[in-house]
Amino acid sequence: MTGFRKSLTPSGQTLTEMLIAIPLLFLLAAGAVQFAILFQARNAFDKACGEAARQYAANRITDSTSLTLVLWQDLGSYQSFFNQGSLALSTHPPQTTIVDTIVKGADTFMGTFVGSVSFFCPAASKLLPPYINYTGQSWTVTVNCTPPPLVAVIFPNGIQFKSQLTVLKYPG
Amino acid sequence: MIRIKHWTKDPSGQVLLATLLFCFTFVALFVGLYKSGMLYNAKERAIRASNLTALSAGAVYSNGMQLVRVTNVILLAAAALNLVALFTIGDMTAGLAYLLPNSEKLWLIKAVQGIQKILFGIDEPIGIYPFLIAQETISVASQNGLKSTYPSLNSASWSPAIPPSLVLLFNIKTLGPDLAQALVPNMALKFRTADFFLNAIPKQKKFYKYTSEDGKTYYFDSDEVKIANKSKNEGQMRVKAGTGQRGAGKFVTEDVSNNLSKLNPIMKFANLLAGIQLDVTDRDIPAIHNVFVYANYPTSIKDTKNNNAEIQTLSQVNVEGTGLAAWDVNDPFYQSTLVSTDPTELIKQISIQSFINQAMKSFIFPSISNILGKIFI
Repeated sequence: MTGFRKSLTPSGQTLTEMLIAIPLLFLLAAGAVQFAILFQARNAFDKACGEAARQYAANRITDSTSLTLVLWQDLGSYQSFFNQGSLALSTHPPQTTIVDTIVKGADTFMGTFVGSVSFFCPAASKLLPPYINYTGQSWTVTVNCTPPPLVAVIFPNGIQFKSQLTVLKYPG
Repeated sequence: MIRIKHWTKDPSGQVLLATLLFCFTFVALFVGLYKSGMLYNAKERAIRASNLTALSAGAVYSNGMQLVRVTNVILLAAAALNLVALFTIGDMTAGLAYLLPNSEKLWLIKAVQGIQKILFGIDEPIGIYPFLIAQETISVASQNGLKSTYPSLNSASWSPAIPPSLVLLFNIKTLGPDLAQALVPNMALKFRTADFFLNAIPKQKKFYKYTSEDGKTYYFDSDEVKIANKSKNEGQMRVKAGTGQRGAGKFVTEDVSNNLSKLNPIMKFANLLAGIQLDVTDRDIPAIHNVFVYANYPTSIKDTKNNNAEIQTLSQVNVEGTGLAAWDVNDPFYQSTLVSTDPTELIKQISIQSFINQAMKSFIFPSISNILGKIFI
């Protein structure tokens, strides 16, 4: 009762306000920091996707499984924010243009022609098509991010990150 | 107003006001954090998208360079076939004249060269393959989320947007001041001409002369003279001392008439050779093949004018290999490498962007529906 009376004095009021405000202030500050970490995790995921695609373009990766592994490794210290089991990758060929279709059609036609020539002249086998042999891949990568504790209060089921990218490569 | 004044003097009102201010500060802080975080992520995604687009352009370009090698092999085979055919019918009397551009005897070579011209856009406004590079790059750019205002070739109707986004600059490094040419897809190729072989011929000696006081003229070649170091005239030559020649140490002048008389036949021969087109080779020495991708990445973040903010990116890819000649066909394929871009290059590109904008604004582009409307009406 005496304590309650004390809190009615100006200094007591200030103390009570401080006791309410400081934890709230810390909570908000910590929330801001954790949001920043979440953005960094998102950024790390995007960077890892880009790096994996670049390795694919440099012919260091050939299949989707290796790509998933490289992507996971590239996440580095941010791996703790992600669930490896939720990392999913779906691939599909990139959209083709009309010019691409025409040129590749001509390539196939030339293939038939040169193929018949190389039957008589084996030296010509080095020149066998396809001449247009750049390939490409489009990926849709999804992963579930486990946010830091304070952000997890808002997103209890985690946040799904999605990234779409396309790159063409030429065999090296 | 009086009420608010009275209210602010009241302690509970002050507390409420302080709380409101506190909440506003934190909301502003969180909104700022959210926007900056989203923009930072968007920036990274923009760089990634533009880098992957540039790499894709490089991949198609590299394939094109291998195609050049293959066509050069075909050209070599065509040349051999054509010459054998001429030799068989005993029609080899005219010699080099057959190789000249107006000669019709070497029709097979000309036919292959004609295909190369159309395919790679050599001495043509645009080639099929450079157009393919541009098309594929634009397609990949839009798949990577970069803004592309180019009309889709698959679309039934379109109207070009102003200004065009996704600017591709081909081989801008070697174009000098004529930057606008880089907007036209090209592969920096040309036909090698036969005067290329003249580089292997040892250079002709120059001739110098000295006229003595008694009016007698003495002639020297370039081995017998040296640069007069202390002369006021730059490049002044003098007769070497100790060669046993008369006039040692004397200044000499170039014997222009003698030099020209010796040079004229060489020049004529060089001009003749310059008209003879051989295989396809690099336009520049040393060979530089590169593509700049200057793109806009649209974001969902609103800017101060309430428009969706766009991030401008610039990526550059170099295409490198050992050579384009027919004998290089078995060499490793050309490879594209992403190179870091100097910010000063961006300034050049932005000046190009403003140039394109101005050029586009000076024209009125009709949409396809307008054209079709006019045709059908």
